[in-house]
Amino acid sequence: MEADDKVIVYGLGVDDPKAMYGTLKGFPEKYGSHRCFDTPLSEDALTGYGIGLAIQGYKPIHVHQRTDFLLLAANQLINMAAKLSYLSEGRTRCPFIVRAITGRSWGQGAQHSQSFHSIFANIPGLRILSPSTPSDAYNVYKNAFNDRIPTVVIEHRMLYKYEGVITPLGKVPNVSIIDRGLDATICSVSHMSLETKRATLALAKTGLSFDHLSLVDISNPDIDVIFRSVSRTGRLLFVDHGWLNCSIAKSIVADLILKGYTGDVKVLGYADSPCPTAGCLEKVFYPDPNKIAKVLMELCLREGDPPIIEQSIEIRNFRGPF
Amino acid sequence: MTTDKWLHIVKSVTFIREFERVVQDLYESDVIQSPVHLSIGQELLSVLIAKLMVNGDRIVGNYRSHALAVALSDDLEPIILELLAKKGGVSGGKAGSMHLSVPEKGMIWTSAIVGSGVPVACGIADGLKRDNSRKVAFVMFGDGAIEEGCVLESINIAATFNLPLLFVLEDNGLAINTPKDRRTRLKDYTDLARAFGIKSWDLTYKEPFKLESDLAQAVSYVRANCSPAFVRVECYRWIEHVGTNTDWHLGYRNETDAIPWYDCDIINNCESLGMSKSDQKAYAHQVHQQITALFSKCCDYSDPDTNSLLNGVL
Repeated sequence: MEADDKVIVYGLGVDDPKAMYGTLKGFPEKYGSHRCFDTPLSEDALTGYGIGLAIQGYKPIHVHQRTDFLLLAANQLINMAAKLSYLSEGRTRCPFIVRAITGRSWGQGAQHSQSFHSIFANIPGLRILSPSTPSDAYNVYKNAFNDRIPTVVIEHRMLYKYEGVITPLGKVPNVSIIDRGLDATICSVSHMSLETKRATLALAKTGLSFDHLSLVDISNPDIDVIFRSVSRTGRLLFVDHGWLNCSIAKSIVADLILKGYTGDVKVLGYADSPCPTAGCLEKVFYPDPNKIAKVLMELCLREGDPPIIEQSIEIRNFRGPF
Repeated sequence: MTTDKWLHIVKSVTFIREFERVVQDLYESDVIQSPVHLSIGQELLSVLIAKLMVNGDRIVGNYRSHALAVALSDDLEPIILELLAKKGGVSGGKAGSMHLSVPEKGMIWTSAIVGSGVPVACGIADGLKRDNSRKVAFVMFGDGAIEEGCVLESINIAATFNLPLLFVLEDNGLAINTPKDRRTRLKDYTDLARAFGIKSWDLTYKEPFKLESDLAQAVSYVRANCSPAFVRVECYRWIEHVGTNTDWHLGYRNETDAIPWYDCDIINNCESLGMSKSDQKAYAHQVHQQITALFSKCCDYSDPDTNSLLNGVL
């Protein structure tokens, strides 16, 4: 926003005292209330509004406090934003970013916890990005407008306190490498990258090492990078942050098989139900480090008991009310 | 009223009607292979808006925008090629009748999802406002669009953000074949705008002089105040919703309903607007031939290259 005064950020509550979980703290004061402003609820029309601003040369960022509300914007994203460039033969571009924040825990339940990356990634003309690490997040926002593509960024709230080293990339990351290893390839999405890292750290003590890739560009993942890794390790675990039916997890597995991959495959994702509110049910709804470690051991044909990993601190410590 | 002005308007309406008549002539031959939503009977509003737009203004239309595109275009060839889905069409044949655009005149594109262009026009209007440009955004939509949530949301947004946007409601009373009384209990659409503090005008094709002057006033109001305004324009669709024929046989409406609209049609009243009936007919005949010739020339153009399929997706 400092570098380009055409960048503006809007959405319900962006300039309220909570400043979108602190991510926009001080923005109205620093960049002006005309560049960081509150709106009516109207997710549908405000998405069209962002498209209109983009048509006029602005670089709007529309923020949703919960990804679940993206469905109210789906018509504008899919029928309008994704079609604008194509129906104008590339003449009119739509540099528009939608930030959608996925919640978890404290009974976020069925409608405050969803991640729709696989649904939106089905649509040509839209780009869905899902950063897992601080570096991913930095490179996504630093570079996303340069491509002038309508972009939905799925942020996971449980990652907000995750600190790390930023490596400027000069472009939007596609598949980013979390670890290099020998025994299996792991592809993970969003908060599942952190959960997976906990599992691989525990398994490192048993001598296993993994090629761990986080998938950032869900719409156009670099299959060659993943293929090279699985060709080397011969084993793949995909840990998705979503339901597995018609998912990016299964889509990538299919792409790898179509390219000739013949190794072992396992996939993990949400249980095949809406997300329950009860904590004990929610715990079994998501893959957790214990389950990921167990599946990795199976995949790598390791005998014995999997390590016991305590519940992730950001989940254990999370208190509401929101 | 100045005679020259209305003579020009009669000619422009005639031109668009003949354009649509040529589409009717050709449609059976399948040279246009896409749905067409004809503007016949509803040309006047587009002609008036095109006259009121200045360089830098923007307009968002909808799937029934042949009239607007023709009224705005200096060069019809890209529009005709687009209708024919040919190479050289304004969008290379990828858009067609339902997504026409005249980018150099501020008509960026049009949407076939009822009402969906209205929020986009809000953003365009805010862009114009942020540029301190004194330019106006227009958006044309039908009475069916009023029933879409995003249009009601847009009315609130335009009022709350005080956007230089003219809402232009073409109220032909029909959503495909469903009359208004089955769709809404709202009696007066301008009540909606007023409820949000938006200045509004209730206009009709039955009073063309008032339509012309009040529309000009509405545009001046938006331009001068950098604030939204809303005009509802009562009109009538002479042809079926989609396609090129009349649909009186379907029984959901009667041609007797159309008589008041034929009576107020400015072509039928050209004598009182400074053009004799015989001059009007001669002009219509002449432009019909010109447009037909242009269509036949364009029919000989190449189809889009199949290797252009993926161009422009991102």
